[in-house]
Amino acid sequence: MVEAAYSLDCTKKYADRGRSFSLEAELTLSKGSFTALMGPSGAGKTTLLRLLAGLEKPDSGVISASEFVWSSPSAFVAPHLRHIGYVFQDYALFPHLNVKANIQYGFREEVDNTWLEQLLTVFKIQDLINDRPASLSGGQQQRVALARALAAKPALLLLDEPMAALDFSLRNEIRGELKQMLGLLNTTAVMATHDLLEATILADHVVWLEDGKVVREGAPREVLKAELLRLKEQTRDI
Amino acid sequence: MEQFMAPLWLSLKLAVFTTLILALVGVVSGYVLHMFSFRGKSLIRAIIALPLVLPPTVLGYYLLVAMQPDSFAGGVFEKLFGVRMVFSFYGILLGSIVFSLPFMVSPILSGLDALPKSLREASFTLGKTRLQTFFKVLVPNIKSSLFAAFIMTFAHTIGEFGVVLMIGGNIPGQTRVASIAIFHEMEAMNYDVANQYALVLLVFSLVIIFLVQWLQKRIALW
Repeated sequence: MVEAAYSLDCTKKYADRGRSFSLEAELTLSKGSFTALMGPSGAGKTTLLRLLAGLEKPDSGVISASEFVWSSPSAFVAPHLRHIGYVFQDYALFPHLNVKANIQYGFREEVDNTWLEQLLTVFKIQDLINDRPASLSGGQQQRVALARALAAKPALLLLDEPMAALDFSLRNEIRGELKQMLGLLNTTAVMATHDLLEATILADHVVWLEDGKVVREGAPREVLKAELLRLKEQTRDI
Repeated sequence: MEQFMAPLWLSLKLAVFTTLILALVGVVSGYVLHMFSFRGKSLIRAIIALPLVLPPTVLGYYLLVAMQPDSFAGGVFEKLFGVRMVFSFYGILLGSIVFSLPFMVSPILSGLDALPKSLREASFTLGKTRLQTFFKVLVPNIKSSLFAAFIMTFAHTIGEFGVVLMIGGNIPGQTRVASIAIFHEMEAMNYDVANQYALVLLVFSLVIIFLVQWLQKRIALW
């Protein structure tokens, strides 16, 4: 049995587009695994990522990393102490810093220039180092956001629909780069996505959420097959 | 000439001190009110905005009462710092700080509120504390709001009348600022001198407006 690197068993009330939901989730992530969180809008995918990042506090329950408790009724570890990387839906690049400075901001202590060069090379952004985020395309911003999130070699990488705004060929390219880096670092990753293909290619574990509850989880092909069958049944009923 | 310039220099001195002190107050209150959630935050924001709607004479009256030597606050200032607050420069400086508070704090808070929440959250997840995030990410991205706050506070203080008159009266060299000098010369029917003071303040206001417009364009490009 693989030892759990992260575990989450908690509840959290949240709102999405004016509707209130209650997340009641139990999740275990093994070291170096890639988990895709899937489900319809408002299912609680982003809330789950935010709970893991410490950007939200659970209403009850415990979130822990190995033997350390990150969130519980009596304890809370602030996001800056969790050694994580987070890629936001809007990328959240700092407008006042150029590409290089944005990535350097991600280093916890001294900037490791060899690692910085490697990030710039793998994500193909060497020629953009002096550009400000406002002058970059969506794909370029995405690459910079990934490079910045990986700068500190985080133990846990959280990705919130990172490729939602990109076209098919660009997604394919960035998926390859991301997989290469995660393999190199043995980083545990959790990604919220609507894209079935993306989940199948990147993830080794899929968690399907609906109305804040985990309704299915397992290997990508099994979960997606079950979900497709369910959708087929629903369509037949209509 | 020296006599004519004295109220203008005093106005300038008052505006510089008020702006410098409020810059510190504005940045600190911006940090606290933007980065922390706590009970009573809305009340604090309302109190900061109060001088915008409160008649200057009302504010001046309350400050005058509060700063009397036999009052608690007035007594504390006199005992601790050896300064009498009423009818002195220190008094009008305090009144000016309270009266101009919203001109400094509101633009800073509006600038911070307008930034996407994900910027500060991204900084937290990249290992930075609240304080580091505030100074390394948020402050550099509200440059134009900060600049507007400094200029508005400075310009507003230069033209202050009601609060200064209530707390400081009209003492030459101590509390007679330019706007009070206009009033004083009008009362004495020295219309020429009043006109000169008014003209200086008019030109100053125009210069400030042009400066704000020019610098805001430069900051946007920066």
